[in-house]
Amino acid sequence: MNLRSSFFRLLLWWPFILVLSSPFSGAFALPLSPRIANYTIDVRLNTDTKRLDGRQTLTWRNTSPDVVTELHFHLYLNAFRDKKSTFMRESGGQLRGDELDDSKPENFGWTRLTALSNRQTGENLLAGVQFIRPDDANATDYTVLRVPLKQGLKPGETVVLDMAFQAKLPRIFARTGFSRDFFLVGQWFPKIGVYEPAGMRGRATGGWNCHQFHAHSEFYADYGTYAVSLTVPQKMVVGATGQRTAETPNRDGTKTLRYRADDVIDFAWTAAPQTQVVNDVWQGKTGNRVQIQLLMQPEHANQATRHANALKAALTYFDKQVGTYPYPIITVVDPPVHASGAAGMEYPMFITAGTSWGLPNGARFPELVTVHEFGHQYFMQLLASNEFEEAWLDEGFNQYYEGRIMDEAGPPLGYSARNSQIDLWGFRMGDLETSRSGYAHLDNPGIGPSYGNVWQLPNGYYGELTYSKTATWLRTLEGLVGRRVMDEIMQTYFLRWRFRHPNAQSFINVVNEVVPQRLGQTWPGAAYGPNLNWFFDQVLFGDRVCDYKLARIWNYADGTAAVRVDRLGDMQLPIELLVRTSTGREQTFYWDGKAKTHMFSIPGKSRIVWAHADPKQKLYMDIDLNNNSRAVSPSSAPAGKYAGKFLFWLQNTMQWLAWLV
Amino acid sequence: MLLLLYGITLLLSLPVTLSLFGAINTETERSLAPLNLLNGFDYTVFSDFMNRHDGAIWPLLRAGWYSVLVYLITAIWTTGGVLNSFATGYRAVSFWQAGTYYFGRNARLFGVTLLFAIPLLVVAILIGSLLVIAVEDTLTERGIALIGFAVLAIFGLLLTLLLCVANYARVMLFRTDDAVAFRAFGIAGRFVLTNLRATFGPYLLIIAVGSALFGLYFLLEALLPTRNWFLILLLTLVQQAFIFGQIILKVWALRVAFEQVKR
Ligand SMILES: [Zn+2]
Repeated sequence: MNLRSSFFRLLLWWPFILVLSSPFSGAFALPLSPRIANYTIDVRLNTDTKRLDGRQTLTWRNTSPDVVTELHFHLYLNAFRDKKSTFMRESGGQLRGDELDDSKPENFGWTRLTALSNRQTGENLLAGVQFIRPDDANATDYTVLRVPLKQGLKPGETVVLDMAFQAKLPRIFARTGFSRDFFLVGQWFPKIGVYEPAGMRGRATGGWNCHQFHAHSEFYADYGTYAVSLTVPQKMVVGATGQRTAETPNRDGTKTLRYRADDVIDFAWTAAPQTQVVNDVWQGKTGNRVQIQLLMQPEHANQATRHANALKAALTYFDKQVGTYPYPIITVVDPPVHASGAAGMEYPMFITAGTSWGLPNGARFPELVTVHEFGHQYFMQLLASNEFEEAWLDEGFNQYYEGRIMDEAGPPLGYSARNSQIDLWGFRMGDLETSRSGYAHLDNPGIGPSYGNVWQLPNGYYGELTYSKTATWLRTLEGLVGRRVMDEIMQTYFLRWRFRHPNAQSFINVVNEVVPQRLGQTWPGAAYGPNLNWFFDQVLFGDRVCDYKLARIWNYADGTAAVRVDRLGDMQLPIELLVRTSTGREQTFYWDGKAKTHMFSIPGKSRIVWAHADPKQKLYMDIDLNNNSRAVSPSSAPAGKYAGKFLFWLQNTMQWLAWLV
Repeated sequence: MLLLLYGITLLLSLPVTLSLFGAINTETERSLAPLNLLNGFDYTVFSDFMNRHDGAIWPLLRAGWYSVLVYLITAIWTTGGVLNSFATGYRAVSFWQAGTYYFGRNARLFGVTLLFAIPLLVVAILIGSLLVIAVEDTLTERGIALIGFAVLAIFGLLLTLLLCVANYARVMLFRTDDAVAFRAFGIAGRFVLTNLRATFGPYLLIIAVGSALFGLYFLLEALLPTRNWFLILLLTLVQQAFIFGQIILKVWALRVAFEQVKR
């Protein structure tokens, strides 16, 4: 390294270092978010009993125009209380392939408030609390608590509550809890719901949005600041949302770690003795610098680079295509295989990935999970949609970006759209195409819309409808309006709604604003109306299925030709047709795609060699892309290739079994 | 004789292969999309095809399995012919007669082999799972994987030994004109165990050569892109040569046993 240049670099950095090291920098930093729900928490983890003992002060601000007379709290851990909670009834005690062993009482979890008082008035509010069930009539669900206030909270007023709570962590099968000596502590403290005034997210009247914990749903919370002190045994390696500000050893063999996180909607942490910490840095082109902290299983240490590369690719891509990551750090937890229920989860500045020993590079699961969970820093944390009611708005959007990043982010990943998920022994799968296949190859792709309360979606189709279908129709929107306009839509949506709570209409409004502005009447979709409501009515709120088929080609004796395209599905989208003639000429035709069938007369005098409806796969949600094209004399070589392969493996099986006789 | 054995494999595999060729051609409905499968693999094309047309493909794959079973029966029959050719030289008529004459005892020997092989498999799975359950809480992922590999390796070795014994039993049934498969198996077992290096050694070597050939094949396959008919046919030729090689190895193993038992 050149000494002089590094000296100058140091000079350049000096003002920043001063600001960053100033003890007041946090206090003076401009709030990025409304900071409605602010927590100071002091918690102690007993690793033997798996218990949490906590005190917290919640400072909550009434930003609505209403007088708020009661507060609603999530007590998420009560979902694991017994098998009668709404979560357990809906999930049957298993989630994402992980199952709760209900034969052991120590596998269950719970939480309870032991003290609750209003700091300003000194009133004890604990006596008046009451469990409520806003979503179902399940009297044995204890995940939502109503706290009546003695005096209503006027608009603009702030309430400060001192609370104490105890909790027992469940054995990990659904994100949170313990597994042997590994702890992933999420959804762990009494957490206030979101007060929504009339007009917010389409609400008619003001009120609390504080749903019970459901099997498939995730969360919804307001922004705020978190100052959290974690007391754990000294041998524990700890990671958490935000930045560590202090670490003090205690005389009783424990240590207390202080964390600070501003403008976030949640706080999660992990503690485990067997952890290898790997630190890295991502440096953005625009000067943004993010600290990367990987908490790896020692056995997976050789995969740390894979995680770091995925993270850097995602950071770079989002920075360029959507918007800046505004936080100083991102922590990735690699949970052990026995705690796989905690893998693949997102919290602010803190995500969990998941891999196993000896995983070949061709199986890109750690990369994929890292990219996906990091994407939630945008679609969950920065755009804090209601994951109970509109899971597609975080999971689906995120799935779409997971696909784009995995398929095309370039170095350090460097995958293609054909091999970004698996590339092993000649078998290859891309990321976005896997999302499409998840939706398009459902036994019934028309089973329902992506839109709706998560716990009311058709049973067994939650993942496909929220993740796969949404990613596929977003890619279809991209196909229709073009990548440039799509990116402008996303950037506008991000800038307008970051640190807020967008809903479906928020996104649709942006689309309806940007598309006419950029494309006017010049694009095929303009035939459907002045805005894109027709699109969302079909793909988001509706259950229609897209399937166009190139039905026939005619080469008439007089030299003229014709092509017929059929619409087999009930979804109507504008579609292109590409025709190639024997002279090598290629011509594009357009059809609004509305009628059941359309006949294209091909002008000129030359024989058609092949015709291809939607040749660029703009209508990505077409459930059968193979029937979109047709050749007059097709090649039988592909069939030959697979017949040859089949012959070979058939003979091989014969030879192998022949060793038995 | 080798050509005859190869001809049987080809003859038994060709009908279902040709049906598959026809079915794929029909079911792709003149689409351009399968061209993407020529050089490499395209998951979208493949999965869209299987989603709509698997009904036409699965019966053929099942038929492929049936032809494997038919081949297995044929192979029991040809064993007698092969052994007879070792003794008296290959003549079509005597090959046919010997095959028929020894078919019954060779079939029973196949039954005896299964009688040992299936419990071996069950025990291996049982021991493997019990071991993994026992150490799951204490061992690392690598440790568990190594245990899995170890169990697999031991099972593989024992199975190979079993097949080697069966190979010698086949020769003994022929040499001593004994018809009791179980007894021959026992004698062969003792013979193999007392002459382990001379018997099991070459057998393992032949299996190793087969595995090496397999590695070689995958290398060749990676080097040969299937872009067009010519390259597809070229790869098919390589594949058929490889199958022929496997047939040679199988006959060679029997020949080694044949020579050993004579001495
Ligand atoms: Zn997600």
